[in-house]
Amino acid sequence: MNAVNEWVAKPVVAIALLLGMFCCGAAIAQAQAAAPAAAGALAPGLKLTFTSNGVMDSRPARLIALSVPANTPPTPFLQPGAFTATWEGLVNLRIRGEYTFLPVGAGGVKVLIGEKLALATSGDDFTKVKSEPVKLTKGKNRIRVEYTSPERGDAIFRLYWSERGAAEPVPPGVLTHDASDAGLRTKLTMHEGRALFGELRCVRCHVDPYPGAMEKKLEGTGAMITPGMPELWKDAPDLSNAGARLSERWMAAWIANPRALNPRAEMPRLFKDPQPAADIAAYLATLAIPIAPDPRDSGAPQVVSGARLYANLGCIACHTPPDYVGADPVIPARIPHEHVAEKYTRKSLRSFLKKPNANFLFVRMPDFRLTDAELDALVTYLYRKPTELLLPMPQGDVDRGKQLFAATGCLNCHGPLESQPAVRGASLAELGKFKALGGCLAADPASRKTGPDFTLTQDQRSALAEFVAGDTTSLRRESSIEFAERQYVQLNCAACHPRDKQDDVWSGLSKEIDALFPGHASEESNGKQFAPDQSRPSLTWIGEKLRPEWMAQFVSGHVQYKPRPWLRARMPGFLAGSTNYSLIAEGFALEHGFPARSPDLPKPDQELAEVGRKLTGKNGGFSCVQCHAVGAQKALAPFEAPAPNFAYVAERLRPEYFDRWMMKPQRVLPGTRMPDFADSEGKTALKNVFDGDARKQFDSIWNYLLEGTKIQPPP
Amino acid sequence: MKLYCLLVALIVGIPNGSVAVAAEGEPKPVVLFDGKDTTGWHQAGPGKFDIKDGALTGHGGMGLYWNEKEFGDFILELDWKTTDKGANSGIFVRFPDPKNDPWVAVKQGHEIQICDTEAHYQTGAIYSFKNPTEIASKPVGEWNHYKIKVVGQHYTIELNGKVVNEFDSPDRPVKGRIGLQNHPPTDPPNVYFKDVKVTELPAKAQAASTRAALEPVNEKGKLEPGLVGQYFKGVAALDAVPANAAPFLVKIDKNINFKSAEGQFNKTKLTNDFQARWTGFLKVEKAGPHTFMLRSDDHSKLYLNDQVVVDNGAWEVQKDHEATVELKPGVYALKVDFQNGPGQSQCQLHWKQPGDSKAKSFKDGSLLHAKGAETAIKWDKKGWDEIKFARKDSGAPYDKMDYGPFVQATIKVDENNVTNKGIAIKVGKDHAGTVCFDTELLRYAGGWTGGFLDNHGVAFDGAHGVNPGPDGDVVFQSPAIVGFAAGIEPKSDPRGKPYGPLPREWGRYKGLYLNGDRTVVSYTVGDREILETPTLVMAGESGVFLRTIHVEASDKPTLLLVANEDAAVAVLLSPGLEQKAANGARWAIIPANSKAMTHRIAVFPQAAERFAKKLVAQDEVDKAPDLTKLTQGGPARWTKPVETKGELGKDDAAYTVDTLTAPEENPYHSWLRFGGLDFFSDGRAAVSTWSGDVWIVSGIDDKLEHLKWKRFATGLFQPLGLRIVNDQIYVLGRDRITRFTDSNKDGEADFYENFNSDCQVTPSFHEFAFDLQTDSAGNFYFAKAGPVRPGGQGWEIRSDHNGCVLKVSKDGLKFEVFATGVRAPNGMGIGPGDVITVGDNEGTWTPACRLSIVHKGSFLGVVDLSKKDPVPTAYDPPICFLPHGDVDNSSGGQVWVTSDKWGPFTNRLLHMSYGTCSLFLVSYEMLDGVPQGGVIRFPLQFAAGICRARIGPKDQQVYVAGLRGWQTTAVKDAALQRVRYTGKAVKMPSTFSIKPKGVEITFTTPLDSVSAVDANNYSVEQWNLHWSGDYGSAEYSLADPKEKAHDPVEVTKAELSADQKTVLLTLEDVKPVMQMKIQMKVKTADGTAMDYSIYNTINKVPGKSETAANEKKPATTQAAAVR
Repeated sequence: MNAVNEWVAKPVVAIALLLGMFCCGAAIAQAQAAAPAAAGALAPGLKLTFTSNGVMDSRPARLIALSVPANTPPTPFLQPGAFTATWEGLVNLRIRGEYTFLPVGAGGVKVLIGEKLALATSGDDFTKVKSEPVKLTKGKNRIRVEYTSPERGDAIFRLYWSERGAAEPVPPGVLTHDASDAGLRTKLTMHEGRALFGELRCVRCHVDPYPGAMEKKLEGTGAMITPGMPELWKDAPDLSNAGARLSERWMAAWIANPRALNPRAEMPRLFKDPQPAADIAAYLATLAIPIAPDPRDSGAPQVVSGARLYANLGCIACHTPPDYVGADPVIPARIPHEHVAEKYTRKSLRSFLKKPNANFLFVRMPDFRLTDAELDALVTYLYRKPTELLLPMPQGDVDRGKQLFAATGCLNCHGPLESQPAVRGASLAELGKFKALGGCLAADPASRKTGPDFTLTQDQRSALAEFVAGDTTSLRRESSIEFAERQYVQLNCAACHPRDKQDDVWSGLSKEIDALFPGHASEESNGKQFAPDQSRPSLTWIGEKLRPEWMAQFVSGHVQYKPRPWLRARMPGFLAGSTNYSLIAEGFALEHGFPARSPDLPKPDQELAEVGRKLTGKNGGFSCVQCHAVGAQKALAPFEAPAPNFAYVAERLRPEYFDRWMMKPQRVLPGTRMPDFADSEGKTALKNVFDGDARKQFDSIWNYLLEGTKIQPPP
Repeated sequence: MKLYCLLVALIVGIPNGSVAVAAEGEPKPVVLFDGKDTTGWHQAGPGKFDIKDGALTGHGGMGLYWNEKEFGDFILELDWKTTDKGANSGIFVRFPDPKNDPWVAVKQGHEIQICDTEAHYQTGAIYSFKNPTEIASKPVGEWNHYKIKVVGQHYTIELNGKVVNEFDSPDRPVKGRIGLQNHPPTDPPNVYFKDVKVTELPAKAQAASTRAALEPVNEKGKLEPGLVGQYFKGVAALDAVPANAAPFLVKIDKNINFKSAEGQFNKTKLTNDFQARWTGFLKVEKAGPHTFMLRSDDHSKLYLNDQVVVDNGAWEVQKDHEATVELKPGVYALKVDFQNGPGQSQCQLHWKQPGDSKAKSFKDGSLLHAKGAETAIKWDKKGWDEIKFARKDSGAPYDKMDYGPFVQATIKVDENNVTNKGIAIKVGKDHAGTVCFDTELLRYAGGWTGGFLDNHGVAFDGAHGVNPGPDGDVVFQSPAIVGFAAGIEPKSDPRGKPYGPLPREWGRYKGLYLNGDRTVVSYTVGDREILETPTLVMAGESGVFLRTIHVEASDKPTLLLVANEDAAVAVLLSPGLEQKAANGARWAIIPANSKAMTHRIAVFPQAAERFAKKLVAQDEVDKAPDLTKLTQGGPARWTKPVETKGELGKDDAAYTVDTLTAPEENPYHSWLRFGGLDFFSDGRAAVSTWSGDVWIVSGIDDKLEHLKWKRFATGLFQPLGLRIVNDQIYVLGRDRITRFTDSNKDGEADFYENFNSDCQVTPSFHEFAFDLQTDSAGNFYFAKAGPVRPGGQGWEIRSDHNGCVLKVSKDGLKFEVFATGVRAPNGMGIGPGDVITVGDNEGTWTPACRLSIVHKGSFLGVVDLSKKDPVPTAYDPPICFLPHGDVDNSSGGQVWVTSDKWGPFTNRLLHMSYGTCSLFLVSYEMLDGVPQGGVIRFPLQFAAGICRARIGPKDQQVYVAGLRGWQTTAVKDAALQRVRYTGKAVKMPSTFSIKPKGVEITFTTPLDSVSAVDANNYSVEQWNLHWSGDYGSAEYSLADPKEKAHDPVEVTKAELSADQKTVLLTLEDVKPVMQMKIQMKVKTADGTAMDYSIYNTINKVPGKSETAANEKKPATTQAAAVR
């Protein structure tokens, strides 16, 4: 087995590598993944290098595609303006083939396979180029793609290829690069340092010399970002009513050692001894009418429905249940729920679940729009653990706690964003000069002195040190591609969604779910009308697939319908209190080489739409209506493969993706229940419409789908 | 309550008199097993329990013997002993109704273990949760005493007087059943149980859900039984009915007990987006806590005195809630609102009155409404009457179709009156009504006026999980019991379960004759031959259902079932017949007689009595037609053949597809979907259609310009197999193989002869009977699908025959199960040397579509349908699996190319895909009796899901037929196509064979010597599947069985044979694997590029002993619980 296949067979490690190097936003979560790669190790994606005005930056890229809106930098470490982007690595094939490379975009592009020039063109519209097929061998093929942006305006570039039949973006599954590449590692250290700087809210203490950065007014309730790194405006839980939400006992334990309670905690450990933690907790408990946890009853019938929800909504993909015992097999470790009943009252737990961002805009927990009954069930389930697990803490002193709270700089993070920090650390400029690993970056408690303990790995400490000594002006710039990727990790998209060769966490937990909710398996098979596949959509093509406007609404939980109503899973609202969610959608679009905004939906061509309507029907059509609902009309016989409602297709999907999907769904999403209707010659079995020309037929269907919610089912 | 306890004590007996009837309020033991009586006990899963020396002992397994009583908190006491040190059993508690699945108890209840030697959990353990503090069991052979106390979630296990286990359960049910395990090895039986008794303890936890007491209302008016049901159309959410909206329908409903069903709700014509509102009163007789259980799909709310008591309003949460309310004797205002969105609908309200241990439905008189309340509501009654009786005008093909004089189907007259093999016969002038004849019980299941069938069901409107029923007003019904006897005493049903034929010597359905509008059924009772024809004569609004019965001579009287005991229905018999009441029904006795006679029986509403009397008068009977004269065929019905013009394929290749254009437009609006195909010796073809027809196609020549389609037969039960033997048509329907005779040679069948109907049919919608093939000796074979649930997963009723390949002898007299364990085997093939093949579809226990060779006794993989004890742990390795993404999601049948005019593939096996409408060349080899091989797809497209094929007798080409049901890329409902060899060179791989170090592939043509030996031009990958009860399987790496991935297999060398036609690929490793894909991009010697993939399975590698992963233990999802 060659090296290429090794990462294919071990996606967990490979993805962790990718995340560790690129998505370092999850430094805390991914601490164990940030180890340097062994020499010659291959990682998914290509190495992507940007150059602009003589400055260079590199990161891995899943796709040979890129979009950089005018006046934005291609990476935070470069200034906005013209740039070149070079992708390098390997194309790994299982059989030789002759591929034609088909670029889309403007500027200049060159594609080299090994030493051979496969394609070179420039101008306003790459699609005008007539390219010749190139032979690719079985196994590894060196690829280098050089893209030069236009002098000004938006830079847009996507590289498609085709062997036989329809073109497709060069799929991420065939691309690898040398993970140990020294140039790439150096640059990635900077990216990682920058991400940690944002994630850990370093700017709250080390604010100088960036008065500008903190002066930005906030927009409404949401943090305003552009330009600059959105995480700089990351708030922390508002503690002004902490006493009414959190138990004193739990707060004391938390402050004493946050990561002991939650392996993904961002809060640093500030005290070596328990006493000051107890004191602060005692003080915080006075900030509202203090509360004590409610008594628990384990026999309530809602426990069962709560467990069912815990499984069906996917809580279990990000958390371990209250009574979970043993090591968590999931990487990164899930956030445990074992202390929930000691942390909250029933009421405050309910409030948190109902509106997770009420006290913390950047909270990772999304809003599931839980109904009252669901809230009751979940609270009962989470709250039932009968034993107290937190270690005893000393009695806290309110006055001492109050003093400590001010003196320790708690309000730097927990205070209002606009306020000046109460406790200042060294300014960034000073930090850069030191480059020494002291203070928060010290490895041992003695050298850390009073600095907070973030429990960083050696690599994380050096990354931060390198970063503060490097280009910290990059904090004022952002690439939403990188922001989206950081959020992909932060918000744990992979818990529910597969991407590339990586399975989602949830689908690997069936045994745990069986144990959690013993009726689960039989409930699935006893499904009354359908027992459809419950897997969530893959995110491999997400930026190409979804219109960013719709994606933004969906990610933030503002879409009123369920695109896949048969799923027990529910897409919750992320970053619902902030405006950052639109950046995630934008980032995915740009990553796939599409503009940040998609054009307004055109009016359907009535004549074509009529043809399309007929083509979707049973009489003279593909009988799409068998599995797809059309507006108010249910799918006629979806069996185990129900499919999205036609009324919502056009507002969700890009036409480019729809075209590709229709021509060869099995190629876009191997194993999908959507069958291939077109053969490799681009013909369908319906010869009497457009002479069997699949593309024309599917275009008519697209026009029909453009009728949107006014769509009428075929006769 | 006291009386009840006494009764229990009297009925079940109390051992040793040790427990006296306790005082009111104190716990009283209930004896579940007293040494004799097993009332209330049921076996779930494999094995059974017997009584031996007053003790229960199980054998076979692994199964569960459970008692239907449900307990909340309780003390269970029983004695047990083992006769073998390694004996393994246990007592299950607190599981829900397991139906037939013992795993319900394992997964949802708790097991108190009995097994001193088990590795992890020993006697006294809460199995898989907590071990006992000590093993307190007595030596083998001595009786032990268990006392199991369960309160709330706390379990106390006392064994022989010692507390050995205290356990707090996680979230398991707080009530449930009690059961005993038969855990193999149990042969000979080695665990015994006796004196099983339960003392129910007063529940503690229910107080939380008990509401404040309600006061009776002061209702003075007259109350009548039933609730006023108002039905509102177009309501998208519960409580979204506008205040002043008029209901679509108002009616009185006796009860709210509508089980989950698809389609029309409670005869309202409403299916989706409607709300029902029931209002009225609840009469309470006893003071105390009353528990109301409301179950619905989708939303519902129960109000008492305008207070919400139960709310099933939240979606995604269990829609099955209960609440307890303190009530006093008196009357309460009751309201239930129920809304159904899309999909199935259900609404059921049950209650527990004080002292009830089980929830019950409301008995008559508990649910009431104020007299006249329903008439006070304004609604469009006239409009409703029109809708109710309107002829179907949906325009849908199943409504437009003229089905002919009768339709055979599983017909549900009502919930308790399902005719598995019924014939709905149109009767009366202008088809005023319908009767349903039951060909198994030889009875009329019912008669109705105003319409035919509601066209509800999988072959009609496509609905899953339902069968058609009356579309009209049911006038009479009869109970679903044996409807005849030779003699005068009714016979009881000997079958155990209500499927399959009764003993032939008792009586037998022989077939039906068609003569004009008249359907004459022919059957025997004992040695008596009977012909009868049903008719309907309308007397104003009322219909008189009339049976005219011709009986041959017999020295025994004949007993015939007539109708239910129903006060609204009257029965009159012609002179000479005698009426009899028995078994809740009315019967007619036809006396013994020495010559053939004609009799009449009339069934009708009371109002039509005068008229009916006339019809059964002797004069009228004498005037009745001689039914024996009606058996020779009457006038033709479908006289005009439909002509179509075929279409020749235009492909410039070795094979092209010609289309024998189906007469989609035809005078009978017959909905054509082809499910059976064969040829007469003169070159004409016959096809059967899923909607019940047989058509004969003539004019099949090279040009296909004048194809003639003639309707030959109608009304068959989803006929998906057709075989012509000696130019006589045999058709397989779900109910039987029918042999057709056209007595008067008018091109239409007059006699639909019951050739063999021994196959059991259950009401499961998915029990398709597929294909009909014969072997060289003339025996018939067909395959019957498993009773898949609506939705595709799991099973409904398992009979002896569903999920089997079945064989019927040449003369139709012998029927046998030939092979077992298929799921949805849409097609078979029988080839030279009587090689029998069958395909199957991905689903439960079928990890992917597969193609298998079948032998007598083969088990093909679906464990739940193995019909074997013990359940097999390995299945006959198939020729190959087929991945659903690239190749097929739904297999069709096979055909052998017995022709030498079809290119280079003489004597080769072809396989069809229904799902992807494609045709495959199969290559397989036999290795030590084990087949292995794979498929290569022909680059051809078909218009429908092809599943039947035959070789045309004249041109020796391959003809395929298929249909569009669901889950197929078909673009036509029906296709009959010809795959024609054009004579051009065939350029594709033809055979392949697994070698110790690689694979050898032979092509139909020499290859280019450069491209053929370049290993870069080949890609080989492989993966395994999980054989489990899940629906299908993901694709798993061989190297790392937990990873969902394909393993690439390095092609280290490619060598070309001297004749340049065979390539030997050397692979880095050759192992048994469930799925391999071999892709090749090579050139022929003349430079034509080829890109083909072979999808194959390796069961055995020559020279190696290792067998495939699929031959080992089932990878059940229940593995964790298996001991």
